[in-house]
Amino acid sequence: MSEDLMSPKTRALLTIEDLRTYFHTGDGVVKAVDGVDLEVSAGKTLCVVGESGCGKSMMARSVLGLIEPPGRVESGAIWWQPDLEREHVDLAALDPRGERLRRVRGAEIGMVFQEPIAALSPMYTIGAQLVETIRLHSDLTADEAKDRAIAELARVGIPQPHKRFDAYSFQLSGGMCQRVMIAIALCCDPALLIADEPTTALDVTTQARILDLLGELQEQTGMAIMFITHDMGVVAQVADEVAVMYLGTVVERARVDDIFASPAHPYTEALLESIPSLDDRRKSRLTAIAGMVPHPGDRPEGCGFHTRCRAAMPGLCDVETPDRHQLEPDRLAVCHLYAPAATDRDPLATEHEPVETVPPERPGPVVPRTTAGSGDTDVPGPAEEISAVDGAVGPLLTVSDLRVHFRVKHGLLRRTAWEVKAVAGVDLEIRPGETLGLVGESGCGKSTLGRAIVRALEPTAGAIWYRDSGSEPVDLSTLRGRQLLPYQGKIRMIFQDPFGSLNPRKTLLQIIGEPLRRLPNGVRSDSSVPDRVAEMLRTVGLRPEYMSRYPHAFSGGERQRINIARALITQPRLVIADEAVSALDVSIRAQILNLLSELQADMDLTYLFISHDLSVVRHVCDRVAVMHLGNIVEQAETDRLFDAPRHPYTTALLSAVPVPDPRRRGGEGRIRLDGELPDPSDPPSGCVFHTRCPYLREERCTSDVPVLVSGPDDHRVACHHAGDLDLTRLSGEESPGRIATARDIRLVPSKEM
Amino acid sequence: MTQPHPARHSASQWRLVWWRFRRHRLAMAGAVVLAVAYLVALFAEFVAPYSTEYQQVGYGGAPPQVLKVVDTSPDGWDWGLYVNGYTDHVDQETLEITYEVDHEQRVPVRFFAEGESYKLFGLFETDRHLIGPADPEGPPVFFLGATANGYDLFSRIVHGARVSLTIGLVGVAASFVIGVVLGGISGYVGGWVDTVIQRLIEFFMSIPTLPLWLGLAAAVPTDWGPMQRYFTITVILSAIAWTDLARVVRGRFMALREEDFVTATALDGVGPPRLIFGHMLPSFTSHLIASTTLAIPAMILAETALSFLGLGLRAPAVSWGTLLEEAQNFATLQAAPWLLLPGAAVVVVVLSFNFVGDGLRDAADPYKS
Amino acid sequence: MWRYVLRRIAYMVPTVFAISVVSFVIIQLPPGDYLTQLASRLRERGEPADQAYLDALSARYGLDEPVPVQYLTWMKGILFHGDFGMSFEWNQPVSALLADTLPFTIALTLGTLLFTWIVAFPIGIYSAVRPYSPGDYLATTIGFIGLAIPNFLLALVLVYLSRLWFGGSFVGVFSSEYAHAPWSVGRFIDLLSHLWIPVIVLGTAGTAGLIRILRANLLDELRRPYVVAGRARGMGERRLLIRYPLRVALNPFVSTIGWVLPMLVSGEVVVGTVLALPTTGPLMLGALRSQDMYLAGSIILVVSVLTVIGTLLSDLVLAWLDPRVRHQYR
Repeated sequence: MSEDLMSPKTRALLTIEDLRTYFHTGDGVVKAVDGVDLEVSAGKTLCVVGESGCGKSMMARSVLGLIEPPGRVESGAIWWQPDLEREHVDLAALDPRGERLRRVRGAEIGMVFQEPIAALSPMYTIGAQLVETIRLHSDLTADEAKDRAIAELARVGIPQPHKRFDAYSFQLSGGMCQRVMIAIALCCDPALLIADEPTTALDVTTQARILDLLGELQEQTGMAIMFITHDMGVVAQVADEVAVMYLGTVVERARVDDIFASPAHPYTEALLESIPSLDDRRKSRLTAIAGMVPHPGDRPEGCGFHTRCRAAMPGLCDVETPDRHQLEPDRLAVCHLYAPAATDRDPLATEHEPVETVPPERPGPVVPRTTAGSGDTDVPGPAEEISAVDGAVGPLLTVSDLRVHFRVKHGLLRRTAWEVKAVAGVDLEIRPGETLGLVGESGCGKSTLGRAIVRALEPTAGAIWYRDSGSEPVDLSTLRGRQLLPYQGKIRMIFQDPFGSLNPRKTLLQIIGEPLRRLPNGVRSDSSVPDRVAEMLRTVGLRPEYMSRYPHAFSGGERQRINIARALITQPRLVIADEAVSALDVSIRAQILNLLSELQADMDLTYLFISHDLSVVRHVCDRVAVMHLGNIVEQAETDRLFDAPRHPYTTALLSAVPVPDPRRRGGEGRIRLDGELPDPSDPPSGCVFHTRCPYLREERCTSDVPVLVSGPDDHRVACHHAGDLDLTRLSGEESPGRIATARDIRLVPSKEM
Repeated sequence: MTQPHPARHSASQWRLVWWRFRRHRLAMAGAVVLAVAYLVALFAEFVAPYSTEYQQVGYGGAPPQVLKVVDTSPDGWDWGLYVNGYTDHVDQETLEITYEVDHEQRVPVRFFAEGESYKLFGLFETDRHLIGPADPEGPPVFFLGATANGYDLFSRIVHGARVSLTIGLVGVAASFVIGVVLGGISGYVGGWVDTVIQRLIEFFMSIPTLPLWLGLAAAVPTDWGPMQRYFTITVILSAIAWTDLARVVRGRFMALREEDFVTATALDGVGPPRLIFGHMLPSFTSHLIASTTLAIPAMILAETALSFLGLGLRAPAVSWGTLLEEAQNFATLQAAPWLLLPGAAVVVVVLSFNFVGDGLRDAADPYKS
Repeated sequence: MWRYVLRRIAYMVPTVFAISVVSFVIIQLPPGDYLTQLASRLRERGEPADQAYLDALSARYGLDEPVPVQYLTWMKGILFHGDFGMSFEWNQPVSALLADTLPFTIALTLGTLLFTWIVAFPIGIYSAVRPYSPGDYLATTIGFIGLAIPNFLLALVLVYLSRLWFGGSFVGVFSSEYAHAPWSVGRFIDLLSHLWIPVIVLGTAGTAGLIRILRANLLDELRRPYVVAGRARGMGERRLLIRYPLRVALNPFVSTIGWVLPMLVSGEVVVGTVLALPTTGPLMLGALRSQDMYLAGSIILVVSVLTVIGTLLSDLVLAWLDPRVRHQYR
């Protein structure tokens, strides 16, 4: 792919010109797509990136005429030319229900969606749906189509395609369903595949394998891909060209290397800065984008981004809509900075280094990291002193052999049909002042563990020792009802879903004030509650006057601040953040992560940070524990774990994370886990990871359960062969003795390096 | 996401529900109709020209008289409320008397007319009626005709509204209590208690309702007074209706138990009673109200059907159902089709309840966009 | 699948048992029994009740036994001999009376179910595919009114109107000339000309309910991602509608058998009475009034069991149609 990039401009397969898709709602016109121009070249991958609400999906759906009332394609052209022998067709001018567009759909352009299970009908087998599509666009007989369908299923890597042909979507995992969707989209050899966030709903390990699959299929068929995502890491992995969208328009278009090396538009730059990267220096402050994406219904005047842009020029950006500026042959930016009149005041100009000039040996982050315009400088954070692990201080919380089993009951007599061991004997220490990360795929039991610690779930067995400074340890798992109250103020929880975790029927004062009124260490006198709530709101960056408002008045990011305020108002020692930033857009996520680290320093907090996002974990955590199927398989200090993982699962997990750097695109060095997470109600014998482990050995793995063994530097691993596994062989030729860095392990050096 | 209207920010749930409900035009119309209907029922003695006992045997089967404002009789123009009087014919063979509206006669009608005296709410004694013949000693007026026994149908419909409109409310209130308690226990406690209650509900739902009602209603002793019968019938009606409500309550409880905000509130140190009544119940009271509203029309229809079959309320009690019982005979119906008018009242009220219920259901969750 | 069928049938047993108890309890509820009724009626007519005769009746029907014994005797008769007891009022075995009326009830119910589906299906689909169109509004309005009219009122109005417009009587199932005639084409046509009123009357509320349910479900399904996905792979609108969302929206349609049956059976009591149909409804009403306990109890029992069977059938059809249900109970 990379060689092609250097070749002269390839033929445009799809050209979108000034596309506008509006929704005519009762509350006015929502301009979801508001003048998009872009091009997909034959055989190339175009990534369309932007935060939610930027109109990416609507743009993609407009291409195939899939916009439903009250929306419609208002104006613009979508020129489509699948091969040179044929005329250009303007898809936007075709009848959305007409025969011509139907032939394009499926046969010439395939599409894959975000929710793979929902995108398949539960009433028919996946085979029936695949055969139907094949026969729709070809003259094959039913039997021929079935053979073809099975071949397609095999091509997308579905094991036992003959058997799976008769499976229903609800019997398959998300990853498998996405493979089926890809098979359906590609069964008629389309020239273009539109993939709308195809991996967003999937686990990172599954995502890696789907991305690999798409790459392989593209190589085989030479199709072009329009890949829609919000994840800059994914962009870096798959894109040839990138279009950055903001509020329904494309604000920057460039080749992927240029985007990452020297973003031209302030929005692109800010997006890149707000993502923590896997090899990020710990605890550094992320540069967040101020504010949030406005509702497309009230788009700001002038440049849509000016309200959040730190390079905004008053009197220009908030008045005039910027023009498109061709910066280089392959490069476009829609920004006043590049207008001839503005060149003399270009504050970003100094940072724009052409990609060629980046020294190949440059070790640091490639993305220039600035906080220009925001006034803040990198805050090392007073937390660093506290977080420096101090062996003398005993743990704040010690979890020992904790088990949480769920009984699934069945039938008339409600017998226990089977038992799911969501947490199957976990030992964990949380030290005062630190941030302990808990990572793993979905379903590994990390949230259950967090909820058991706060006693939102009843542990089946084991102990949770809590020791406040200067007091005796208490086993929280033995306390009941009112006995727990004193500790419920000490250990608090922040939830993932900013919408579901706030009672919509209560005001902020009621929500945030509730724990104060209920918990013994809060204030009891009602008159002081509003003052405390006001103070807390100010602390989390909300205005105290919002106290009388209801949650529906706030956006996701603001609601997460409310959640934080509710958690912190009791002055807790330990806060369990359960995927607290996972539901947020990147720019908002950075704001919340910064807030969390500021608060940790100010309030002397200890965090248990539960997340599936390894980059975020690396960014915020002092130590990390990796969970798999209810067990902790590895636990170490963050840098050690990321740089020199010792459990095969951790290695695989790390190698699956897309790195936001196109020059470090994956090659042979990556580990891809085979198979899916085993059924937790029927875990494998021996090491629970053995069914997926690339290093499976005859002896012990399938028979003995490995225990978490402490190694040097408090690096604990639960693997029978951790001592003699050469995980570093992945990084190619390594000199013995040297500790492999994360990058070495996961990535084959790309050509530029 | 953030609403452009600042007033919304600090609008409580009920205000948001009201704003949504207000946009539902049919529901608003239904609400107005119901308000009028219940006002009429409340002030039945005042609204009706006559009491339920007022009988003019001589006018049995007299047709409706249309209320007129302008007199265009040959004598010239004249203003004022009046109805036309009747002339009677005696069939020479059958000796049957039939009445016809006589356009020559004028019976003046006025508002706040003097009539039989009554005690409003048992307190205020008065003899004024909203509308009635201007001359209390003159010929009677039958706006909607007279029954075969010479009762004024309009007055009876007005008085019947009392029973017919309240029986639904009382019945629903009873089933509401049973439903919320059993559904709440089922949903909150879960386990085998839930299983038992679920089986009970399924059992009740598998019995055809009317045979059950009929069986129970037939068991009510014939010598019981109207009040006793009234309450027994409501209990019988609610014996079935609670199952639906219990299901709704249970489903909501089950769903709410999994909600993060409930977990969060429990972690705030809120104990079970306050968690249930202060946080969980308020989350679905609007849904409950909507379900309840939609259950009322079924009760009204059921009462009508039972009374129609002679198993519900019985004369002298006046309800729309007992009024319709008179229309069972086709011969009577052919002679006096206006006897079906109480049915029209039923339809209008039931329709209104359905509209209001639908509107409430749509508005019940104002946080769903 | 077979395990599912067996389990569902096993679930039925306690339900049917409970129904039989309830049926029996209901008919025991009224103070006194048939004999006291009979005695008082005889007294009213001025005939002194012959105590010996009453005692003989009492002994014959086991009315002097304790209630549980009576129940057991009754159930034993039903289970082992198909004997539902005697009707005091008709002085005939209950089974004979049921044999006369039940076929009509079942035929009427099935006919109405068919009518309901045939009418509700196209209208519901149309309403969902063209929401907020004039046709949709018309269907919705008719649906609302259909739900609001008590069925006996509809019966009265229809009979009144048909007399007004067509003349003649549409009450009963046969005109007088065919009432006792052997089956012939003419008799069949006569039957149909009488049946349309009860079918419409009974079917209206169910049809209205079904239209609303189908519309709501189909509208929900049409918004699902798999519909967009189907469109995106080039399926035509009609084919897409019929193969995908409609299949799912059919499920509630099937489960209607479960709730439409009790509703029809209930409605049949009223409508049968108004239209003087030879069905079980009027028979039961009469039996309840005269405390003809075995007759009333048997009808409640039989009709309830039929309903339970209907629910079972609908569940089985549902499992057969919907793979999700089927695979949940492997």
